[in-house]
Amino acid sequence: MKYTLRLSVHTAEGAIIRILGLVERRGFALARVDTTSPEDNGHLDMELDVVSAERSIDVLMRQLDKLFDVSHVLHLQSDTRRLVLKKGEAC
Amino acid sequence: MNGAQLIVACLETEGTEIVFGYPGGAIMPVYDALYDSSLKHVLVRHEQGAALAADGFARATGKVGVCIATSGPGGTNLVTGIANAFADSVPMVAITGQVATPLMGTDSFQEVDIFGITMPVVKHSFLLRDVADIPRVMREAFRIAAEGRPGPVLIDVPKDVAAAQTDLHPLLAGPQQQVAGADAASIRKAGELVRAARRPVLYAGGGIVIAQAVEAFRQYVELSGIPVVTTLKGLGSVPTRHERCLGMLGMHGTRAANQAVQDADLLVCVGARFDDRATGKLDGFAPKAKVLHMDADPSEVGKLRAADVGLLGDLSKNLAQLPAPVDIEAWQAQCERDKVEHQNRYDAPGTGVYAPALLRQLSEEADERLLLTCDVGQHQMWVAQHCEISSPDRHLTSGGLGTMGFGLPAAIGAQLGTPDACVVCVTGDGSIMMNVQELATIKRYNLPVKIVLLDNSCLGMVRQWQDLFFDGRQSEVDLSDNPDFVRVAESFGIPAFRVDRRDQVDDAIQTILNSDGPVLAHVQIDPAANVWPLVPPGMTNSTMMDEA
Repeated sequence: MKYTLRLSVHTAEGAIIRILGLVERRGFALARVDTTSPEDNGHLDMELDVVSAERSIDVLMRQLDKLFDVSHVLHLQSDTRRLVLKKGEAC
Repeated sequence: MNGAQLIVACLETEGTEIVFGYPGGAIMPVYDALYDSSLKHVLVRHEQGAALAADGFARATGKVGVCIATSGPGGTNLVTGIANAFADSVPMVAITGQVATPLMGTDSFQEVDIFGITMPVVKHSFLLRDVADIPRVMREAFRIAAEGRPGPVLIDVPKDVAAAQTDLHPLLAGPQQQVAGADAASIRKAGELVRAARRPVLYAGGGIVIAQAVEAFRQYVELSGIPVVTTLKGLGSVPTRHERCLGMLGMHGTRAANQAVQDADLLVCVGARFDDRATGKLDGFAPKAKVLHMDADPSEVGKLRAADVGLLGDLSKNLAQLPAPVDIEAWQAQCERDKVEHQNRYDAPGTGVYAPALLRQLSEEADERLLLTCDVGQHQMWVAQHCEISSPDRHLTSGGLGTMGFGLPAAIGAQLGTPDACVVCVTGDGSIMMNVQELATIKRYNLPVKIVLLDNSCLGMVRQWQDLFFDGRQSEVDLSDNPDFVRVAESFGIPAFRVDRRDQVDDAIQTILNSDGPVLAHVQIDPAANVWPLVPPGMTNSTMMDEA
């Protein structure tokens, strides 16, 4: 099953490698990684395609959300239905 | 003031009184600053000892443990201790020296990317590239280490940043954020689950003591009368002698605890995480039970077992909102019958020392000051199965990582953090050799740590598994050429004595408990002794092996 996640990330040293390492360590394969920095404001947008046959995307979102450099995690389910995880919430 | 002096000033501002460490090249500016500081620095004999002592200090006191090491091998030697703290959610700040920023990335002497190496085993980490960041980073490190689900935070300090001049000052901690309880709708659903249950079980984990919710949990046990099973780290959430306590669940749990979970219609998981050592085969764990999962960490709810209701936030507040179940008298009686029927026996034949009986007697004869630390292996499980444990912070054990070598440095940290405690380190002949050098630390600071070394001349738990599951092919587990541990201890200046027979145990326990200073009891036990009962790997907790 492939999922697309969009993250808002504070551009601290190590932030990107921390996110990518967590995704793979928690049993997801990375199929695509895009990063853009729309403004020079210390944040970048990150979009990931992640793949797992059996692991829960909800749990991965909460694990990513725990990272201190991640301010938002968004699961792009379709153009019309989006699930936003606010900091500290369960799905 | 330079950066190193500012770091030490920040530690003092955070209320740190003791740090554990080992000096070296890149961290020398910090050690120079420590020379003039009010902090007590405990010089260990290996950096792993520093991290594990900081861990033991944190578990015993609830405060953030601090360890310091130099760059390169100093940092890498900390890694096991940092991972241990991560696996067991222990608040820790680890400070490492780093080569100067112009040398970083050039493979210079004692350079290693400790920031990168530790990334999977820290709650967060910082690489200090600017002296101006020190006050913010130090404050954030202590906040992150302690808040929510605690964990280790690493701060890597390049030597030139430590030497740079600054006129900044430490930041003061702001008011502590109050953690709210769960939302009203979730509380209502949880209450409905509890009221509907006829066979509920409380599954108590290490999160209870971390959340400072032991008192609230005990009040709920008294109010509800629900039988309690605990994880390894949850032991003592209610005293193990409490009438509702069925003991530890899982691979080496009690039959009563495992049977109760398998029969339960509601599992109230309080600060636990469905670890594989507790659940056995996951899809056969508590097969008839709905799950109410209470945890501070949102990512744990539903991670391994779907929860019918999850309660996030402050454990004490949430426990106080739960109702008592109704009509569970028959279930309570069934659990009590199982507990009595399968209670431990201590009448082993022979004249040799029976380790479970010795440990049981030791914990019964000790007073409320007893604080146990364990290493990892058979003796660790015997402590969990047989010792009376009054509170989780009086039983320090490496649960998640299973770190052989934890016991001795953890005892050092615990003794320094709680000077009035009677700290007893229960170790094995395999484990003690992992950090035996810390006997020198015990001697140097004259710490009254008692060591009970259960010696079966082999790696007992591995040998047991090889006998049971690898056709008895005992591969690389023989330790019959161990040193003379009495002479080893005495060479460090620590009194020691041997216990070879059962009729020596009474006197040995009195000597251990009544010695003013440190002492090591070298106890020879049966090399063939096993830990029973046992859930074989890959089986459900209904399948428990016992001694033939």
